[in-house]
Amino acid sequence: MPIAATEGLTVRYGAAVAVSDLTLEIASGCTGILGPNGAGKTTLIKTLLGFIRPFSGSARVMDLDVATQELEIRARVGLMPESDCHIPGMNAVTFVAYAGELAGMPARAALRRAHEVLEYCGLGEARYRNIETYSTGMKQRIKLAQALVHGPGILILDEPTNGLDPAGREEMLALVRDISHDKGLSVLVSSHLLPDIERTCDQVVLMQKGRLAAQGSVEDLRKTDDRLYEVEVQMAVLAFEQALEWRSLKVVSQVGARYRIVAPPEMADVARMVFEAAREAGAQVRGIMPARRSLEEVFMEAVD
Amino acid sequence: MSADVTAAQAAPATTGPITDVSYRGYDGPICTRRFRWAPIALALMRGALRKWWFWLVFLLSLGPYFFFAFMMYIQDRVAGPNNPMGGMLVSADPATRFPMLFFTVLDAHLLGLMVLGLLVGAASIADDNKTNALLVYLSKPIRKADYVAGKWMGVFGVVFMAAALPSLLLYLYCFFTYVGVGFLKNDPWLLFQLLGACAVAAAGLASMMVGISAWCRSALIAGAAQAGAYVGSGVVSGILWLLLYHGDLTVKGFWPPVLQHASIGGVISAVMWRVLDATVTQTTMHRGRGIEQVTLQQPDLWLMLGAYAALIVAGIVAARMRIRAVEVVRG
Repeated sequence: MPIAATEGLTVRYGAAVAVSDLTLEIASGCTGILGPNGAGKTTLIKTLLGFIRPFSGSARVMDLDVATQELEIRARVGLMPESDCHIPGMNAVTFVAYAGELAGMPARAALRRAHEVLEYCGLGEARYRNIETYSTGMKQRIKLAQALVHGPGILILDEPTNGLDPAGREEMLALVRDISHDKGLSVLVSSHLLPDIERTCDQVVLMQKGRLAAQGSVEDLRKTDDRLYEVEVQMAVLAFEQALEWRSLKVVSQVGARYRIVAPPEMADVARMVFEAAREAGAQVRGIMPARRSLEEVFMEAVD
Repeated sequence: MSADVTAAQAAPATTGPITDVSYRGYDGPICTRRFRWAPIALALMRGALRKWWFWLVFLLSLGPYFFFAFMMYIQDRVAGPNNPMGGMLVSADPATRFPMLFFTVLDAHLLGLMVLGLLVGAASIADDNKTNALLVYLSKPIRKADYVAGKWMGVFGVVFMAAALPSLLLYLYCFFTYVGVGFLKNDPWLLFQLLGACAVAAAGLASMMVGISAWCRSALIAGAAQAGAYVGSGVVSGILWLLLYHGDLTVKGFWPPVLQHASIGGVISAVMWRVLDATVTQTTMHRGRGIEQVTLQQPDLWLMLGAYAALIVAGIVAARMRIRAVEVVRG
């Protein structure tokens, strides 16, 4: 069963269409929602949580209808919003326990659970400090803690690394990966930072202008057709490039001693051709492998 | 087990000395959804009651209780209950004395209750607007109505407590002092009427506070707007009454008492008056007639009840309209 699914979903803000005829299924695991600004990522999240009513079509989360069962959905989902959000005058443990109580946990259970979750999120030692005194990284963690406190089945993270320094970002990504891969929660990550998605997610939903641009596993999306190869030589030499071209192996990019080449469809033994070109140019081949696109390339291709 | 240990070692954010890396899902009990407003109300009340300046304002607002209790004591012990001057502040007639006493005290305490309500209510929703806390609330399984009900009950609870606590103490004082002279016989339902009047004040103020606070993003602005609405409406109705009726309490008719109560505080006061069913007399100085005791005329019951209901509903509806998890800008 998919954790979320939409069928012809259209969401409008007055005359403006934010999501248009979107049909998709999101499987359990860690899924990234990618797209440029205005692609409809946040609108999709808001719709899945029942904050916004669909104009047409339908959306379901854990087989619950967002239009009629939004409370049941929110009981099973934890949201880590993009913007800073806290309740003034509360320390971390009070805040997280309060979030648990709002989700329906009895006060004692919510307090005990708040301590556990704060420890897990790395705020154990700062739990009695007022949240208003927290750094940006700590505020991100407290948002994660309040989303986790009631033990949701799905966690929705909206830009989880927003405003974090490199060390904080690494820690947050490791935490997200741990939650999704070792703790059995399904995680939806909305981000415009492709490396974050690449490092944490197994599946990607690419959105563009409110529509689905691409969807699949990160591995599948990064795969290229069989004709694109990466060749690494010990030292780049111009003669090698010329020898490749002479054998109809087109060099599409070169970074240092690493070449990306395209082989013609009729060529049967590409590796042999590469080794011949290297011998002719006096270059030493260190590796040859089918090329994989970066997520950024996938993204740019889909957006274009 | 080994998988857990591996996961624990992989988690980078767990550096505390009593680190608990064994995150697990929550499978404990979940409370019924009917009372989801209760934690919100309790949190608001706890937040207010923990502040020392709340208690300072509360103590300062008790002036009318001390004053009237002292005056009763003086009336009885020094002037005597049959002294003609004895009824100047509190009626000496045992049949009307106590409802009038409690109405007069509560009416005098209303401004203090408004200030206390302001301390709790101004920030009740405005602070949540400012810090995006609504996203925290509404991403949990609670309705907007639960949120508004929680905030309303929080303000109501604090104001009700601030009104009822001293009223009950004064009631106990009267009970133990006057039980032998027909205190319970004359007014057997007074305790319930008193609690009802406290609830009337608390509900009216809570609605006004919550309704205005929801439309502000700053507690200061909300407080200013709330105080302005309360005091401003009182000043306007007072000026109109003075201009039209020269402040003459002896003028009878439909409009003079209505105009006198045509304000937020006035409407609340009028309904409290009805609940306590008090006969209120006031000593006035008239140019021709000299000093005289005037029995005040109550404003029209249905008009005041309608205005009071409108105040309650308007506050709740205004708050409900403004509450949303996300800003939706219509294109």
